[in-house]
Amino acid sequence: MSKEQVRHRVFKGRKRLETELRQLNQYINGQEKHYHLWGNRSGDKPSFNKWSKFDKSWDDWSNTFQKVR
Amino acid sequence: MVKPVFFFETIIWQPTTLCNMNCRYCYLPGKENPHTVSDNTVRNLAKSIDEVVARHTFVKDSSVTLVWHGGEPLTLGKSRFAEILEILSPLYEKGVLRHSIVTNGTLIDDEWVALFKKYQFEVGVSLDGPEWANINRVDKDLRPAFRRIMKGIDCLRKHNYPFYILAVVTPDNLNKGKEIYNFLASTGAHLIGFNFVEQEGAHQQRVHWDREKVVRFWQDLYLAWKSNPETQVREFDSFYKWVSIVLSRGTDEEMPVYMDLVPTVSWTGKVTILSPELATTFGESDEFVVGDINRESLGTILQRAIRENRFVKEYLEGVNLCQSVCPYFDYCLGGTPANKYFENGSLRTTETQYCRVKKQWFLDALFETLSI
Repeated sequence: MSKEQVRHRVFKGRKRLETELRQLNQYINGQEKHYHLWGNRSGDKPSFNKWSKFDKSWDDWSNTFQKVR
Repeated sequence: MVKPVFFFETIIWQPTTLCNMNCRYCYLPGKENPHTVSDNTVRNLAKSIDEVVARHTFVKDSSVTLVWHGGEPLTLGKSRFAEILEILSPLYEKGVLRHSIVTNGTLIDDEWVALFKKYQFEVGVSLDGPEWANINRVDKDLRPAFRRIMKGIDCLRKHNYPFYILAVVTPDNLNKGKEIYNFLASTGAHLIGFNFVEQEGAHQQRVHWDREKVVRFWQDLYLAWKSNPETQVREFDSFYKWVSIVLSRGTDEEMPVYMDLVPTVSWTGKVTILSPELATTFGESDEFVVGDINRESLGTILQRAIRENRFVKEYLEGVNLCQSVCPYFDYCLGGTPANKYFENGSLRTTETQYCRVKKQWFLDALFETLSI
């Protein structure tokens, strides 16, 4: 598997991932906004920020980083 | 060529080296030594935090979180712990500093919870699952700690105090993903994070991981979580966060590499970055020390380190190698320096056990489970 293939699998599986998240959301007391994919809802922030400090991983901080020097 | 954007939002803080436990897989050396931070070092830390937040030196928000780590931070005792908090309280009161603690839970009682409550600590307890999963969590007399940990958790629950759990996975427990998740979720923790036992620091034993078993573990864990997802799992949250960012960009667009500096400050004021586990070399060698907050500010130390420090340069060369050879780079961002150092003997290297169990096989497991 190449780097491009890893990314393409996510794109290819978009519908499947959205279905999965919908099912998860239905379980969590109908809290539709608990888990969601970015890009689907403008202006929404994911609820995943809590753990980012423990796991060097992706985050989209492009706006807030403008003040960092 | 990777052009990382450096940042940090937490400072790992080791106010003491002492621990009341002697867990078999612990990577921290010197746990029997009651070294404790001085008031002067705490004051210098406070001054540094105030400065980096005010000047936004690698800090994006208006506050940073101080993660009390160790050793076991509660071995400081309530009185000393409160004294340190008092020195830091001006920063806390003006909202510049937030507190977090990682504890083995065995010393938690009503008074500790009151202290956590007063300063709004985020509390993390180390627990690996049901009693049988905690055979490595023992004290210095090799007595199991499980019941003492659960007593601490019961105390947090009695006060309705929120907590998260950090669990260590060992090769022996890989076939018990479902049981481990179900138990940890039943404790009332609102978040769970899974670490795999690693060869680093004081724990030099090489660990063998079987790919098939690790993939099965992640799959079992995912399915258990999916059937009861009220408790967040750090790894699945990170996965969906990554998925969302991949989808919000184009298939060919290069991802920015955000690199968490994770400054770690020892009881003496020495600072290391990029992997708190590199602090395990403190006292033996200063190979990974990038400065001392008793001599200069944290901001100055960090700026110099990323500009000219030898080990930071070597690590970035390693990340570049990862980017050029590893299909999982987008998800992993180049591994962790501590694992590269302790497993491969050099930061200028690529794959480690950590990469395999936490990134590569994890992603394989989820792709397979989700049929994507």
